[in-house]
Amino acid sequence: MARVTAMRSTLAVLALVVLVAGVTACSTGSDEMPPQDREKQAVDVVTEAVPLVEEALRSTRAEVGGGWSSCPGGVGHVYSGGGTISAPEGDASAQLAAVRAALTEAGFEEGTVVDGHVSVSRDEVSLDVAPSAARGPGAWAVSFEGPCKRYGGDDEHYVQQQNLQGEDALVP
Amino acid sequence: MTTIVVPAWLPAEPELQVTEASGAVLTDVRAAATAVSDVAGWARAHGAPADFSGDAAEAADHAVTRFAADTDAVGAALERGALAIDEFLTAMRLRRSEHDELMERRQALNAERDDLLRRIDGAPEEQVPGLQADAAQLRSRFAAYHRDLETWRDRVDSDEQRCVRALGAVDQLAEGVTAAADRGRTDTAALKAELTRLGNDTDAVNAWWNGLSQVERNALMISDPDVVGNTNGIPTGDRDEANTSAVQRDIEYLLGRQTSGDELSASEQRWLENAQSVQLAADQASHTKWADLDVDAFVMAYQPHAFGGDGIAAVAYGDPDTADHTAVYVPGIMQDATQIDENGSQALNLYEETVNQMAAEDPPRAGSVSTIAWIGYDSPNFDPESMWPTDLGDSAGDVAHTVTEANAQAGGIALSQFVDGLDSTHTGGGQPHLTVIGHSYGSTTSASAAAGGMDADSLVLLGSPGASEGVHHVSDLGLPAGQVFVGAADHDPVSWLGGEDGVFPGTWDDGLGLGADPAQHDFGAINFAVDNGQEFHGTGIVSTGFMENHTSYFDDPDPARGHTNEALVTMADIVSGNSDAVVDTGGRTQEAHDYLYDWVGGEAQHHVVQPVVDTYEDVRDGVVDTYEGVRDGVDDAVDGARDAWDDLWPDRWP
Repeated sequence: MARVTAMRSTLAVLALVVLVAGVTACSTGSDEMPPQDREKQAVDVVTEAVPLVEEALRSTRAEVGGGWSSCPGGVGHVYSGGGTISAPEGDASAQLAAVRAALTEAGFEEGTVVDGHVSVSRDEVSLDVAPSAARGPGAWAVSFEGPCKRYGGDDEHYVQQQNLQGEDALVP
Repeated sequence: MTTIVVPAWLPAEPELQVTEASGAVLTDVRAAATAVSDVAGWARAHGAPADFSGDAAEAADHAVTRFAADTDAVGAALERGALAIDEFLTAMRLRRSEHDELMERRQALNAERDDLLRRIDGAPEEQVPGLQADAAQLRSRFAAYHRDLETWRDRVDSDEQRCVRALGAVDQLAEGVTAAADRGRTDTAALKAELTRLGNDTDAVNAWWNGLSQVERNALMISDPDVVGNTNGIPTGDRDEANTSAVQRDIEYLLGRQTSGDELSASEQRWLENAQSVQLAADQASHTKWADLDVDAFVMAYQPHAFGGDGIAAVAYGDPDTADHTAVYVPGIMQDATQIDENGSQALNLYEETVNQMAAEDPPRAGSVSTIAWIGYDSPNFDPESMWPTDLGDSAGDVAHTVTEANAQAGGIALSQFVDGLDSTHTGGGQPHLTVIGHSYGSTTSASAAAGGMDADSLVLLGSPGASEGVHHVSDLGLPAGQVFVGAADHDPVSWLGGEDGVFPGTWDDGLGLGADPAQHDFGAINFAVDNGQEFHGTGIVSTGFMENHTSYFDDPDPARGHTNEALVTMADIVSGNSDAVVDTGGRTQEAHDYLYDWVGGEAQHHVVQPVVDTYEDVRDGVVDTYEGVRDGVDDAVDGARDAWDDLWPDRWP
């Protein structure tokens, strides 16, 4: 019984220490690069990947926007966005294969393969492409997301202001 | 020569320039009218300053009274202006619908005309009488179309003239004074009192509201947008109009203060953040990422001062009053109204996935969808940016609610009333299919609401820290059989907290805790596959555990962070009523606390025991050939350290 009590106390202390350390690290840590660079990473991924997808799908129209927003839980900010690529309707499997080939051949890394999606990443930026009937016949949804990072001082002011100013048009 | 007279091809009638987006004008006027109404109310309630006396007091009283009367006159004028615009926009909505019908008719008539021309071309003489008869009938229908089109144009013109006359009638202060003195002016105080009396009887509220005239509804939306926008049972479109005006009023007021050099207090800054977040949540439906979904956003709740400034907010994507499938998403810990935009984006993701899943069925299934992000309760949270000790003290007090159920129980009642309101306002007489999705502490809130009799068809509990007090089994939630679904990632630390005995059974915390872990096999819910997330160590509990594993249930596939979208796809099936497609994974057979126990044990092993062992082994390797006795002694010590650890830390929770 004494051992159990000691063990529980140990558990409580360890859990508390880890949690406090974690929260402290979170509340005092910050991104190692300025938000403008994070933004550029995401913009570079989108502006390189989306034209490849457009070509693979023989797209007739593509619109992608992005902007800063707060992360889930209110800790940190993230540069993310998305849009729609319109293309002639076709065999979705073949179209997905063409998109996958175009992106991986260009050096984007593919993660776990998810049915009906092509999801790739580069420089901590994920980009997902999937057909979306909700957007109309032949429409493909594009979404991308950088890492959630915490910023302070002028950097924090920058991301907050950008969040309020709305989105940037990235493609076209 | 035989002649067959074919009517002339019908050109398209240009679309009306007044669109749904034109409603922004009404929002502007209502926001201005509300602001003026607030000022007039203030002026009426204040005479001369308390320390004035004699002639000065009398003069001040007169001045304030005169100001109140003038302001009220402006308010009355704006009220009538808003009504005129509202009636005009309503009329234009009808005219657009009539225009659509006329253009469909036009297309059909032109097609018939083309067909007749084809039949005439090269037709033998004996068919001429029949073709002439057909042409005569077609000419008659073309003439009817022209008459109807002319009538439609006259109606549009008449609507415009009526609006212009109404606006012209109140464009002078004297006319505003007359409008203010009008004995027939709506008594908004009496209307507000009646609405307050009806309280939470959402069916009665809905019937009463629908029985008001447009004049009365317009007046109440201007005088009390906060009441209209936040009362369950009032139709979603009207709540949205009232709340949108209130949001705009607040943003204009607070930004105006900033622009004029005033420094906002902390609570005013919070107020501004709440308003801006609600506006972002509504606006993002038309951002490039979502624009092609062509889905309308509705602000269903906006109370920026609730819960000490944490605020209340709810935004719907798709109209829940007409939707075939509605989902209410209830976020959890760390969420307040300043986070409604982020939660709204998750609701939009769910909206799109649900529509896509229905379209992917064989055959594709039609049906309209509405998803709602609802932050209508006091979620435990703290300001992560806060650094001042006093703020941190407040934050600690607030977040401490995470280990008690008080907020979840109060939130459960509010959630249940919100759902009742959705039932009352649905044009079909009740929601055809409504799903409530609770995430994190929101799952405890949702489960508490369900146990209290919430009128939902399906319930989803995600990353749950507990299913609330008194809920020991799925049957305690009162949902139809097979309609409670649970998603819990193995590496989501919040889902390790469930259990009826608290985290430390038999000790001080048994009175705390948030109830049974609904992911347990024995709980009896349907557990669905989710991305289990990535293992983490040390401070990774925040960056990976909380920020990624606990918050990724609504995400698209995310290879940079190693997540799939299994939870989102399954939730879409549940929301659309295709729950037969959900595969039951059976649930956990290991206690939720054991996950926490194993993780903490692993951390201790990793950070404490292993370094000791590594040190011993370094020493041993350094003396291995020279001092066999020392080497054997060190080996014994390594084994001893490992044994001591195993002894101290049994395989399972004791």
